Amino acid sequence: METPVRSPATEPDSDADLMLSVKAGSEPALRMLIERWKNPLLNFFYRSTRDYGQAEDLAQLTFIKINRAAATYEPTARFSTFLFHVARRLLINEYRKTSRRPLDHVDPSDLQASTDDSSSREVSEIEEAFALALDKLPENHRTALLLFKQQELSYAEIAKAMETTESSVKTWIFRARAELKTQLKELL
Amino acid sequence: MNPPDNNADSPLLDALLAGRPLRANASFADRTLARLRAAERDADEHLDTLLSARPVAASARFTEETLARLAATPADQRIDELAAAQPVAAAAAFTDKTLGRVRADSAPTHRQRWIASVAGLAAALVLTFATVVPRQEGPVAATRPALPSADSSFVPDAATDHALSLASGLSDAGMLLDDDSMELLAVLSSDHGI
Repeated sequence: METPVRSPATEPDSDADLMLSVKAGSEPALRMLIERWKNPLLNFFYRSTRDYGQAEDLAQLTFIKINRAAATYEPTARFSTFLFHVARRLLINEYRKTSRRPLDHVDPSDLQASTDDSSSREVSEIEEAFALALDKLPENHRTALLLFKQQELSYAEIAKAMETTESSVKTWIFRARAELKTQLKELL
Repeated sequence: MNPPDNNADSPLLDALLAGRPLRANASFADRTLARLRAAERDADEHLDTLLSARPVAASARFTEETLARLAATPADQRIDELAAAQPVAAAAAFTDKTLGRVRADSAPTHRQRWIASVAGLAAALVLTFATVVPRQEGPVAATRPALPSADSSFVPDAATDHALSLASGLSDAGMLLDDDSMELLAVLSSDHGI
């Protein structure tokens, strides 16, 4: 089931002010930041990992990193740029860890149980196909597309968050779209 | 200067004195119409101002997006919709759980607490019992703890060794201990496991 969640990336950047309050030691400010950004972050990680539990863990880790970095935070860019820069670093580390990790043994009964749990989300065929296709994209293509469409960051903001140039971002988004279109041509 | 003529003609006063009701003169209608037209003109100008105002600005990527939408096929649009979707929502307890993890992450570890307490205790002991000798530029051999040289046959016991380590640390921090203080530290180290 799709839950409409508005991205705060398009709103005025009061998050930077909140972050400065976090820097001064305010927990209520951190709570507000978490409330504002939990869904965008969770969805970013969910689209990137296809695992709700892992996405939740990574979103929480992002806030822990943000809190650690608060002491040295300076609002030189939009907060969303800073947030997704941290989130992407975590995601890349997670990919590295996962690639080193041996395959987990899966008990078929566990698989059945987890399937039952997720049935309430009513994942449609096209949604499932899209998630699979997205998973096959190179990390930078997928992240650029998600930051652009899902998080509504500008090319400049994405370039900053991903430490690259705007033209690279445009190229990655174009290629991501083209690849998805090819993979999903039967369903679109 | 002549005083003001209080008896000058006043149409209103004259009319009142004569018991006649005041009548509008010939220019009254013209003046009223002129005022009405002026008010209408002001209203028009106000409306024009409101209509020509631009209270919002298009985002930087508005043109780019519009052109992309014009060129987009239904398949492109569907992909954009799918990419923009936010299919999951955080659980109700997410914020509290996250804050709990943040607090746990910020809290000092057991090792950090142990180091802080030992350092605090050592500093307190030094301030209470020991003679703190300010660091001097000149020869300080007499006030430095007598650390054994490499070729010495001296083998300190565990307590003395620990006291020497503490003294060395304090020395690095800018404090030098005399022999009595060293001995005291060794005893405390031995008796109390500091």
